[in-house]
Amino acid sequence: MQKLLGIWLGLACALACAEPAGADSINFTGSVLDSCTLQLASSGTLALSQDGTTMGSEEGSGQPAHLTILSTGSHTISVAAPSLVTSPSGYDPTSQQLEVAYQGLTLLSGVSQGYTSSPTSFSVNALALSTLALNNRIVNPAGFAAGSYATQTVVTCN
Amino acid sequence: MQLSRRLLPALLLFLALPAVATAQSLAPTHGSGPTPTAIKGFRLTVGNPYRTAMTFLVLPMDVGFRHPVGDVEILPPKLTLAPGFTRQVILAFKIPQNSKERTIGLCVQPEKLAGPVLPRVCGRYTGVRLAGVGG
Repeated sequence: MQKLLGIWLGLACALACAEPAGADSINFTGSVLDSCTLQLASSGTLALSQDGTTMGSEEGSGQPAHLTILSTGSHTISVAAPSLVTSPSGYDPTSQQLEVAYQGLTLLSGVSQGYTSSPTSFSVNALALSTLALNNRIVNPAGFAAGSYATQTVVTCN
Repeated sequence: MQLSRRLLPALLLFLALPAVATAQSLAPTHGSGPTPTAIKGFRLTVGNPYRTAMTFLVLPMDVGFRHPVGDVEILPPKLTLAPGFTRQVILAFKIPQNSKERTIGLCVQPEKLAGPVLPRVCGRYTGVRLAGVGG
């Protein structure tokens, strides 16, 4: 009788012990795609300096442009040298120099670039919505003829 | 104060998440995959983060994003999106017969955007021909 009881107890234990081995594990999976968003939040404007040799977004009533950046994954933000896209017919561009400068705000506060006419870049990892303030200027010792001027800087997230 | 310092990044990320889902300009920005033929395709998502409807150009470029390249089909190459909306585009390109793989660039930029800054979002995509097939 005791032997039969032992067999039953052993069988019960085997069934109880086998239970966890038969349990299913529940896995959660997910993935994050690399993505980048650039949004021009505000266009910049150029104004003439007091000495008449610089048209810039930090002169007089000029305003910087603001670009918002949102990134998942690692990306490079490249800022190309600016180009002159509009100027009046009487303007002499021979001695002009076009320059761009930028300053990161909010989560990009560590990013800073002084005025340069060369392409520059910086890296960002996963980045919540942040802002980059860009300034452009045209320096020309020969001065500026009356009319409209416009520069363009290509900013690439890749 | 300590808690708010810890919570702030999480809060910012939380606030940004809905924007990731509805306002991305280009995703993914990197891609690589095999193909049994001489054509490789990718499905990409282009989004409009602006507050107005915008028309975007989807341009095939070299890997440095400087010059347009050929033997590439993008459908559609130009798309108008409502604010906050996304749409999928198909990128397909040929891998030259004597090459095992080809990498191309692709850039999304607004068709018309007044102002001194032209924002572009670009990606690189690589198709790898499976060994012993294609041609």
